Amino acid sequence: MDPMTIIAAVSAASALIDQATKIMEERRRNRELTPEQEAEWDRVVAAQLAKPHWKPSGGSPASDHA
Amino acid sequence: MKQRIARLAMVFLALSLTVGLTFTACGVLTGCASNSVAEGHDPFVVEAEKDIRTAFHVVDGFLAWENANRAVAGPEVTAFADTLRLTFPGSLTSAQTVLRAYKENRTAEGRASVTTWLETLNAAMLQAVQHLPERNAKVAFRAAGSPVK
Repeated sequence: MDPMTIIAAVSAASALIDQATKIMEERRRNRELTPEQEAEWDRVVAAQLAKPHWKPSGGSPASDHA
Repeated sequence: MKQRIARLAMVFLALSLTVGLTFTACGVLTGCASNSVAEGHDPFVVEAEKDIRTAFHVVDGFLAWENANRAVAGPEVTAFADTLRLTFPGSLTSAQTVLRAYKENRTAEGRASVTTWLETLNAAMLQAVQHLPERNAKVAFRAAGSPVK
């Protein structure tokens, strides 16, 4: 087996290992939120809901009932 | 000497390929990476939490777009946006409440409640997308981390 073939094969093996590592990392990321993460998400939502674009436009029937 | 080096290279190559194929097979055989969850975690809960985040980000994006483009959006879109401003926060809170209750006590009834509220959020999200121009809809889904529909 010539050196170029070996190098190509090792590169292919490295690429496979990289791909597999990414798959395993993705699996580790897909998990239920912890209470701390839930609290953080609640803060994110609250911050967004306080922004002007969540305030009624002031000209529609829905806002009249608010 | 050359033969020894070649033999060592072959062994290393075989090991690398074996390890790589094994890892990849693990990822493939245990499900697509984007759909598999960590061991011990409930896929239903993981997906529900993702769906809630996606729905919120898409609706948030729609309302931001409507707020910035009110002059051209049209009264019907603005009226719909105002309805969402009124109803979506409550639906979001309800969905999260039932989901967190389900995480504490995993019953069939709890799961059904979560599913019902997720359907409500998803319906609101889809209606918001329908009121967006196409390119903004794609941006909204990307921002929410979801595949572009």
